[in-house]
Amino acid sequence: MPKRKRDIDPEEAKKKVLGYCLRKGALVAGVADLDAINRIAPAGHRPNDMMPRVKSVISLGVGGQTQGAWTVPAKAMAFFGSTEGRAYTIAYGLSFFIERTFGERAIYTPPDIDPELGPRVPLQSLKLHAEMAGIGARSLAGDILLHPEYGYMYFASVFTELELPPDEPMRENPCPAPSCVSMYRSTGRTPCMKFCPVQCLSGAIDEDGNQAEMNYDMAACAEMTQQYETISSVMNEVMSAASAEERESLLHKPEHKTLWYKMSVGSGGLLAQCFECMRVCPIATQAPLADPIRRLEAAEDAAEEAAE
Amino acid sequence: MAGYTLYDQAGVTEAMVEEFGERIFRMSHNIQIRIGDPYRLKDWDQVDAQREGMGLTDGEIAGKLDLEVEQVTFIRTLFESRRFRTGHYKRLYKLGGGKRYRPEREDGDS
Repeated sequence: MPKRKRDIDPEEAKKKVLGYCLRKGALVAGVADLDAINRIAPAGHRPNDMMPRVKSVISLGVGGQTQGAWTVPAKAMAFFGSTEGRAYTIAYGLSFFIERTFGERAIYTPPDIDPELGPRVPLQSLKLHAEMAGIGARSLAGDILLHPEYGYMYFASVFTELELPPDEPMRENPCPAPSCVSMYRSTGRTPCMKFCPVQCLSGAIDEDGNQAEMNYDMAACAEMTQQYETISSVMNEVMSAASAEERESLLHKPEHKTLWYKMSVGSGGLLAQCFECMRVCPIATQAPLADPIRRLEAAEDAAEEAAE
Repeated sequence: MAGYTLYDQAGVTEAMVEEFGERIFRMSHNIQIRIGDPYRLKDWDQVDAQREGMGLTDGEIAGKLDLEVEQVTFIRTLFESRRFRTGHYKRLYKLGGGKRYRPEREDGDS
């Protein structure tokens, strides 16, 4: 790593850092307030539990698939719906960019689970980083972050010893959308609540149309979204089978064999397999720039206007 | 060591799993309740007041139930696995392409 640069202007450094993220394909990027994260995250899961001298937490978000992806059968969406790998790639590159440009340590923050605590406890909450960086707000859909312009995104974080001025969380929360408020007032549920296949969502909207309460049964959601948890359960069933025939049929069930396929092709086939709450979310699917093609057109229009 | 099980290592018995399993599960972040929007608004009083609703860590649960952290982690993860219904996933096979979830279509797949 190059020597630490002297006289780094934090504001200038921040422009370069966030500019890198946007040039590499992030839709949004921001710097989270480290003190706020430390105030919220429990001990063991704060940024300095991973990087002792961390001074800044950078969060970035990338968009999802094409509009067509929302229309495909869920079993197909499970294989290609998520695009978090693009966010991780940018964050990985950013960590090198910071070390090369400023001579300050930086790490790509692993988005993975804490191996001591099982599959439902992450090392760090990338969601909290993004929320504090002002690039997403918690929705009624199990706290999935949404953005008023870009809808539903995937997030990645970078920790660094480079000091950067933090951003503030978003001023407004786009969830619930007006159409969801109307539906809630007539039926008591929003689309995400109604169409969840395991009914893991419930909540309330207040008189002003804001979130009053969000209830999330994460354990039920995990049955649809964390299919790696299925593997040990299946193995337990197989080993407890009453007969050799039963054991054979359990092992060779199509969906159980598919688990081995998914393991062999990598995490993309095992993570975030259920999109049903987002499929019916008007913000996720219809936010002004949720459609990648509309984003491109908007960028081209902006460039034309600038040239005139 | 023969006969020395993972239960022994964690200091847990099946009776303890039965006694504490459901409570630990509900105190953990398997079940999350958020009132308002306290993180975005940096409403620190509400952030603190809602820690239990949003789910406690194993260490925090251990303190409340007078157990060791390792005991809570063991019971929580075991309980999570026992509650995990592998049959629910196949509900996804019927969805998408214009079809949305309808509870009346399910046929006892838990």
